[in-house]
Amino acid sequence: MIHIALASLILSLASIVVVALLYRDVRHIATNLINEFGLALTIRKRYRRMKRYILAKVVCLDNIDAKKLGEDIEKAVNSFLGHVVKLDCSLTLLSFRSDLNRAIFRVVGSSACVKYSLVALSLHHLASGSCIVIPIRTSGLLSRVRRFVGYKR
Amino acid sequence: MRANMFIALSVCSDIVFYITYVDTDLQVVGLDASVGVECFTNDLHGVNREILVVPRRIIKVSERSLEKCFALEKSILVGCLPTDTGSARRLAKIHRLSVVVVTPTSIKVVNESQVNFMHQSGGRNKYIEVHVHPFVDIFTTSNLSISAEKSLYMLGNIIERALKLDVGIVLSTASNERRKLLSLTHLDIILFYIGFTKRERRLIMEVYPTELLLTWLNYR
Repeated sequence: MIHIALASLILSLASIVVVALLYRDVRHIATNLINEFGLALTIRKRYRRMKRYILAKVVCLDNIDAKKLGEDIEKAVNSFLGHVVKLDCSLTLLSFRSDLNRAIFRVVGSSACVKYSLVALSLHHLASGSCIVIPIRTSGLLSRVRRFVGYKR
Repeated sequence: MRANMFIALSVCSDIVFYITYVDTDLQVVGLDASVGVECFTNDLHGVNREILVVPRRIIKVSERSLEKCFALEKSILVGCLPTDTGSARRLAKIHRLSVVVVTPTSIKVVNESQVNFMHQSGGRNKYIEVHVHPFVDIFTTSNLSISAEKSLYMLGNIIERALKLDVGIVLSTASNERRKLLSLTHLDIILFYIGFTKRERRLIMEVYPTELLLTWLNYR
């Protein structure tokens, strides 16, 4: 009985080793077959478009009209991101509450876009001299961002 | 403990603005010794929370003028900005508390080898202080003489090496203008952009500054 158990254990271990060794080759062959039969578009989704919301604190040196301020920030951040990044990422100001000094931005694009947008929001005031934007929280749900720090009454 | 070990602001009202509006949860702030005393007696009393002010002085040193770095009173936390390799290496070997400042001008001498030297010298009294504002200024102003990508790459390497060898490294904003202030959250985002994990960022932003502060207080 024990001999059978040992033999099956050895066999399963050997099969694990074989799978581990051949994994790359098998995957390579499978990918080639998928491409050969033109199934790549139906099986794999190559471009994943993500949506993230960024809650930010806005600190201004002067009293500026809220609407104009929102437009200014959006323009400054977009110019800071540059044309090439803007092909992949879109950053829009969703809302701005002047009484709380809080703004919500929406980032749409690939996964790296959040990183780029956070840096652009953080540093755009150095180039444009407009209000200082300090990102506080990032989330995939707008309701969660709005609930944070009493944005939603 | 959230600490910004150096702000290069020279006007008290700007410092109060920074503490009140930009970094509202800041607990330790490093100010130039002359400005700090003036602000502490006049403006900082208006800030309605407890904040620790560290008197600082940043001194540019060469191999010949290294003594300038240690000539000041011990009540001031001095940051030494080496201009040549000799002074940088001597700062790494000296048996005193030394804070080596990294800016785009000193990054050629304060490189990964410098971190190795600081690690080899032993003891927990050698710290690297990165002034972020000059780095950020490179890619916001069109300065063609210094490559932003190269500077950021070298900075990333230094931080990585320091973390690996457990050499104390702290980040300061070193902002010098009211319109160009950086908060600690901005520094955290820059570190995240370079590729550091949450744990590593916490080490740089909170653990090492507290350690530097305690070392300096014991050293005095």
